[in-house]
Amino acid sequence: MTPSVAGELVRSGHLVRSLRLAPFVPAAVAVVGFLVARRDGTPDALGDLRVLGVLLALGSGYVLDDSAAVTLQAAPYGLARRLWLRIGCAVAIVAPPWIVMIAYLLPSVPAGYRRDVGLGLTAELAAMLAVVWAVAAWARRRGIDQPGIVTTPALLASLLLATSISSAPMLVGPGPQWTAAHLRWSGVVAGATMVLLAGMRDPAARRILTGTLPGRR
Amino acid sequence: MATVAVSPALAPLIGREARRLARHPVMRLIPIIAGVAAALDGASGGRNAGYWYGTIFTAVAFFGPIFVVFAANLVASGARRSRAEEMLRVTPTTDTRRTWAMCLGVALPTAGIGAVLVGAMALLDSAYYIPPDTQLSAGELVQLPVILAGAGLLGVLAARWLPFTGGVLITFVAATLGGVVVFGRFPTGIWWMWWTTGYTFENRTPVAGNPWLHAAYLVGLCACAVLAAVCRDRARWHRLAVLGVPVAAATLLLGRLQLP
Repeated sequence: MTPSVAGELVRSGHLVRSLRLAPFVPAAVAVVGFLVARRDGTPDALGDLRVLGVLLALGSGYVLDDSAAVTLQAAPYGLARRLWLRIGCAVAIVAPPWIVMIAYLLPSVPAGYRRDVGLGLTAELAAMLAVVWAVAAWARRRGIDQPGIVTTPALLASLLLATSISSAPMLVGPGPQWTAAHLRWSGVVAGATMVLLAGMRDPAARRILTGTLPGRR
Repeated sequence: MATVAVSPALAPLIGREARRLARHPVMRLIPIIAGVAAALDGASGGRNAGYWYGTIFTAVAFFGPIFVVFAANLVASGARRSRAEEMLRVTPTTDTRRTWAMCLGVALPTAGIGAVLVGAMALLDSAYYIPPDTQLSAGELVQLPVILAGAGLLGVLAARWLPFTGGVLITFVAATLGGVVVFGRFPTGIWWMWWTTGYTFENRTPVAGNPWLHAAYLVGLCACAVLAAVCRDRARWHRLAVLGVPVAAATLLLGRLQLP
């Protein structure tokens, strides 16, 4: 197997067909709703973009679902590559509506805050995506072939916990707390990405510290 | 379906479904989230009776329903996801009976837990001072166990009618965000929403209504969900129409009667 396998999977459409697209329906409906309802601007661009970000992240949680996971375990195309391919497809699905909606709703934000708000909300989306994919990758590692349904309560629980920490607020508006809150969001991105990378490692691969194979001394 | 009652033959199935729900890992998230959120909360006014009253309310009316929807859906769709439906078809029980058991096994324990927590709220209210802005009336308290049971039934309904990946997510978003968007558009919307009337949308001025009849309206919605779940098969759609239309009409009537 060579990297061209990935290109062939994308070109032939097999990869897109194997993705679960139904979970993106709420986000698609939200995009259409915002495009129609917010033609004259929005009083709460932050709220609208956060809702869209959560919906996109919830939909993305299902991209690591793979009905053929058991069959593909024997394929000489590594687990990490298979998962990266799916994550790449999810990014290709999530990025266009996010960029469009940022461009569409950001003019409603005061001019001085637009750059901060755009970057900050994108960091929030990245953190949520990293969390759902980390949860899904670990669930896959635990033998759950379709972990998407687990990612929704996991993300909602994480968000509820994050918002309940009054001493370190996560969901803030533009102002003095913005930078500190988004440093915390960046920390979540980094932490969840590390967990994702660890979760994507093939369970049959050599252990990093000892160099031994699983099950051998 | 009309002949199905909570017979001794159905009771073990109900108990089994209730145990599956109670043991589901997603259900463990509710006390964890509520506990951690309470521990991390600054509680500027101190951890007094009013604080615990509000904390229990948040657990029953907010955290609880969110996770019960997903836990109930995972329990109800377990056979489909593990491809065990073929094996279940040859067991000496019908799909209708299993769905009845599923609905009752999900609704009864969740309503029971909700009732216990509401009892705790009432006890706090009777023994300590609760600030008027957080205090709920008896009619509003009665709504809470029904909301929790209704969330479970929504999860079962999603498993029956949207048996594909992401079906429960679509249902959840439609029931929460969709409901808030649709019912937030008119002043009496909170009374038609499947939530408590103790709080209004975006701090709007409350509209008068009868909270006891809202509880009855919520029970009607639960009955509609049970009927829709039980009569999912195409062969039973005529029964769904015969039984569902009067129940839906009665629910709408209760919805109308709750308003002045």
